[in-house]
Amino acid sequence: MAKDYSTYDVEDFLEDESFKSWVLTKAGNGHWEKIVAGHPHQHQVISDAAKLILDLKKAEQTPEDAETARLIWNNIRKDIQAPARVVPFMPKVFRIAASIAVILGCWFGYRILRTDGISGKIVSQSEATQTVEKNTSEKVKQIHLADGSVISLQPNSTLRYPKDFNEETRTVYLEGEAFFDIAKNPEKPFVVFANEVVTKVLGTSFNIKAFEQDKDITVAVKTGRVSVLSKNEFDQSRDQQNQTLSGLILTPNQKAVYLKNEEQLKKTLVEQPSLITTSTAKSYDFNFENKPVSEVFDILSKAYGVEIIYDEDIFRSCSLTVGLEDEELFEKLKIICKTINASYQVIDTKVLISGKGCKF
Amino acid sequence: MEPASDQNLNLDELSLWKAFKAGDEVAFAEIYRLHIQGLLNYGNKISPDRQLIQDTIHDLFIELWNSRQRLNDTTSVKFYLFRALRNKIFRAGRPEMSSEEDMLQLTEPSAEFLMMENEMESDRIDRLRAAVSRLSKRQQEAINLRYFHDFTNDEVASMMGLNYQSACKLIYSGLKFLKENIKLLIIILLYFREL
Repeated sequence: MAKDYSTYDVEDFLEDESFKSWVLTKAGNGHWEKIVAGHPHQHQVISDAAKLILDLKKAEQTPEDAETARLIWNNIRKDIQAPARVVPFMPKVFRIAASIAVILGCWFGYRILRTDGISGKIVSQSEATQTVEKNTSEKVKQIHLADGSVISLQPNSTLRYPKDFNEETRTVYLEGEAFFDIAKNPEKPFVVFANEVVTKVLGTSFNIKAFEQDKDITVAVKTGRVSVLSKNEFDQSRDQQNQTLSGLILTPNQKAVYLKNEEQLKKTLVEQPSLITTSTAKSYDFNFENKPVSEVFDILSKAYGVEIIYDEDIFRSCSLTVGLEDEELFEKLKIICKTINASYQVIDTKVLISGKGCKF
Repeated sequence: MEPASDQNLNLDELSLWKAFKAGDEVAFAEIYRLHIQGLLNYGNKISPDRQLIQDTIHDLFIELWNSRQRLNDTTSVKFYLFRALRNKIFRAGRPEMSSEEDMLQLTEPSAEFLMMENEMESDRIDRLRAAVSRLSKRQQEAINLRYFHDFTNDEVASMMGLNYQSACKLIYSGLKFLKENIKLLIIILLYFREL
């Protein structure tokens, strides 16, 4: 069925799936650009339709409601672990009030724990059956745990772990720095306590740096997904059997930094993001020839799992011819930016590109 | 939040879904995080009862978790969640309007209203929002699903329990109204300025 774009009305363009997709994502390998060029008298109509599509997106937008999202999630967590015991007909209001009572209870409990003279360090339950590994050498020490996990302990660091993991979790305590390569076990989450930060994983690899004398604690993810919260949040949210945590979720190449004096967890990127290997194991080609810069950013974004933000209109005129195989991500970005007369900035876990574009 | 970017994540989304089905709680939390703002936006669009929306979303995720092993691999987690939410909300009771009545029920903007808007000089987006709010509830829902949450006409039809043609007609008439409505405002704006 051939479409007669010359008689199309605004609504007809609006209804067209591929037109909408093109306006929103610029996808479609030049198909729509050709149509626009071939129907100059429809310029106004097409422009009105495009504007309406973009405006509708903005008009329908509502502010993000993080508070409500968190509230709902807290209730979900509770009910997942204690299903059958929910009293029927209990209005959600009472459930929320009950959870506030639990939070206060835990908070008081934590305060008491804090002031018992152990200067805020987390005390373990049964120290008798724990192994304490201290690395007093200058080299990295490998520790193999019963479940197959391998921990690379840095000098001046200590790892405490039980001889046998208990039924519910695999819990270890870190003072200093270590790289964790954790064996997957969805039944038993792996939990690391490092001063005031709790890291919970189900099977992945990441680095934790938590020296007593440092101003902050960092958790950096290499593979998998990790959830990180401050000890305050962990205590506030923990019920009896509760294993599901929220907190900050980190994906590969992201890291969380806990600032001790501010008691705040912030998300950012690691210093040297590495290429993400997915199950489709596609090898990435970083040799570009006259490639529009938007495609270059897209490839980089997918390869490293990092979101790159830039103004498409400004950079539409820029294209690159360059080979970037060997450099790490930020080197690549530096080279690209230099070529297109732009600069980049890392904000949280995103990269923001700013510049004036490439005028001919 | 930009829903459009979800289209690029289909492979990740499938592995996330599979991990959740296998009992991965971190994956489950991530699914929640990815879709909650969209669900809240859509939920609040189809029901004025905020508490009902929150309770329904809560129940939805509990049921999802409890039945995870029985779930199929879905091609669109987003569509699955939205449709489940809609079904739960409407099962809880909503005055049924005959679909024909509904589509023809357009309130003509009154001239006074238009002049007031002009005097306030609201910007283009506010005007559009006001125009959208004058559409029927079903047109608003269809437009929200299609142009904000990026569902296809097929998905909108399926979600709203309409056949494909009815869904298209619903959206088309809504868009036509919006187009005319905005034009009308602009013409009056110009007219006033020339005085």
